[in-house]
Amino acid sequence: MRLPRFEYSAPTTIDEAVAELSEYKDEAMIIAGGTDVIPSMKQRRFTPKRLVDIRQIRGLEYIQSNKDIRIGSLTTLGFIEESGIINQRLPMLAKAAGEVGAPQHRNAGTIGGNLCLNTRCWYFNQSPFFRQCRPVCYKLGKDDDKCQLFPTRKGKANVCYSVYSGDTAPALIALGADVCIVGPGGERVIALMDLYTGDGKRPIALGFGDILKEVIIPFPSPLSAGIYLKHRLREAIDFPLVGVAVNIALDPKDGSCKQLKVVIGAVASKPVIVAGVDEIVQGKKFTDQLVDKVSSAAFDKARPLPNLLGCSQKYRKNMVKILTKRALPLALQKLTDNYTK
Amino acid sequence: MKQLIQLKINGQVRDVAIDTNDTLLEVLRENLGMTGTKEACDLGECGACTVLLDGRPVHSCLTLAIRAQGREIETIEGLAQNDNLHPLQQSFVDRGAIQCGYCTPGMILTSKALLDGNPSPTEHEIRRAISGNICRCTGYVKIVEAIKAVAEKEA
Ligand SMILES: Cc1cc2nc3c(=O)[nH]c(=O)nc-3n(C[C@H](O)[C@H](O)[C@H](O)COP(=O)(O)OP(=O)(O)OC[C@H]3O[C@@H](n4cnc5c(N)ncnc54)[C@H](O)[C@@H]3O)c2cc1C
Ligand code: SF4
Repeated sequence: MRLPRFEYSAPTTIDEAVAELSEYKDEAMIIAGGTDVIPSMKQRRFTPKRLVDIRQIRGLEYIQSNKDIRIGSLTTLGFIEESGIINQRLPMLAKAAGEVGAPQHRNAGTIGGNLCLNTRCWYFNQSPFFRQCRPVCYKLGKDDDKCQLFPTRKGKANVCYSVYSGDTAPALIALGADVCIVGPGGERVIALMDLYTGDGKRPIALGFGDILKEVIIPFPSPLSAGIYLKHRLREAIDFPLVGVAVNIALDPKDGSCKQLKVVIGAVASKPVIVAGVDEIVQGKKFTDQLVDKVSSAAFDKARPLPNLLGCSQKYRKNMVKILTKRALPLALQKLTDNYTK
Repeated sequence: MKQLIQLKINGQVRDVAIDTNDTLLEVLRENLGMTGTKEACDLGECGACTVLLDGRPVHSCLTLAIRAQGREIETIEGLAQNDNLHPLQQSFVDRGAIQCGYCTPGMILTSKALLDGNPSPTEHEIRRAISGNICRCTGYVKIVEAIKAVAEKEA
């Protein structure tokens, strides 16, 4: 399918790009790797008047390791997956980047585009031909158009239940990452979790003119390890049905658990942090019962909706528990391996 | 309005008049008549349109032609030397790794990128490298064998 017509510009500095995006507001859209923007435009989910190509901006493609690890937003997922520093210091991120789509997506797709990925659902991500057999939905249309997942629901305010399916975000949130955003008002650093609004209609908390510049990840403590497990229909290409990232830090004194983070992807319009797992495990040694308790907490917190094709929401909820149960022992094993090395 | 740009394809610089909304796939097939690169899903799912950009496989259907300026583009037409097929092409023919042929150009370019960077890959590495190239005749076993045979010969 042909792309709709658009104006194309390729600013070479971040200031020029910010100025242009601020001027064109909702008529402009950023293109980085284009692996999400191009299919979305072909399927007429968006028809921006102007595409602002940020890939010509110099100096946004890097992995630096000084006080912390910094990744420029235009760094490709393929580069991150293969990077020596990332494999050594943040293996969970290398793995998560390597789980995105297929090699072709990772060679073109950037970390910035992956974090700013739009949300998805079985109606929204279909061809215009499919969509025309139903009314326009709330996300694609106006504020009084109905969500096509629950078109007959009456009386309640409209909600978009599309799902955030990026693979690197759960891993990066479990690693405690921040992001640096450049906008018309200058630079600001926010926690990565705060990039996500949870509102399916406007899932990414960026204003007109805002560009994600870099991802900042603190060095993990030596006695910590993380695992990202993804469940999808096929082993490649597909978006996650569920993704679970766990990150465990142990106390060097007695090997008890100091900190635990569990983040679930693809069950809501934003990544979901499982609250309260720290209280379950803090000061205790990991046992099978403890793993069960944490997996049950993750299961309780996950509320997938019938927004994806391929399996039921109940199956996805169950998979959250199973993936958490698999991930925790794997992370502990990694800790023991690192320690005995 | 059309713009004149230059693309470096298989080592040759070509002048093409394009619209901003033309994909590299459309320019290769329609402007340049290079129909070796296949169009199938046109949405970056199947890998049939794979070309190498600076040596790495990407979907030409998701690449704007205007953004391919200044980069090395490699298509299936660039592999054979005169009448001699590239070893991967010959191996695919010899081992029956081609059925309908639609996935073949993408499959061969992806395997070429793999072998250029890693001359003796494991079977797992081969399968992972071609995981973005869907073969709907499901001839994967023979495809993997054909790639392995070239790797073993070169090793
Ligand atoms: C068949 C297929 C399968 C896929 N499978 C997966 C998968 O399994 N997991 C997964 O996570 N993704 C998947 N993707 C989606 C996509 O390929 C990746 O998420 C990729 O990382 C997106 O990066 P990009 O640079 O190509 O983004 P683009 O398409 O260029 O941009 C994506 C969005 O982010 C915005 N954006 C990009 N960069 C910035 C920036 N620096 N600042 C602010 N906004 C920005 C764009 O405006 C756009 O809205 C798949 C895509 C396809 C077509
Ligand atoms: S979940 Fe969102 S995108 Fe999907 S039909 Fe409902 S409103 Fe539209």
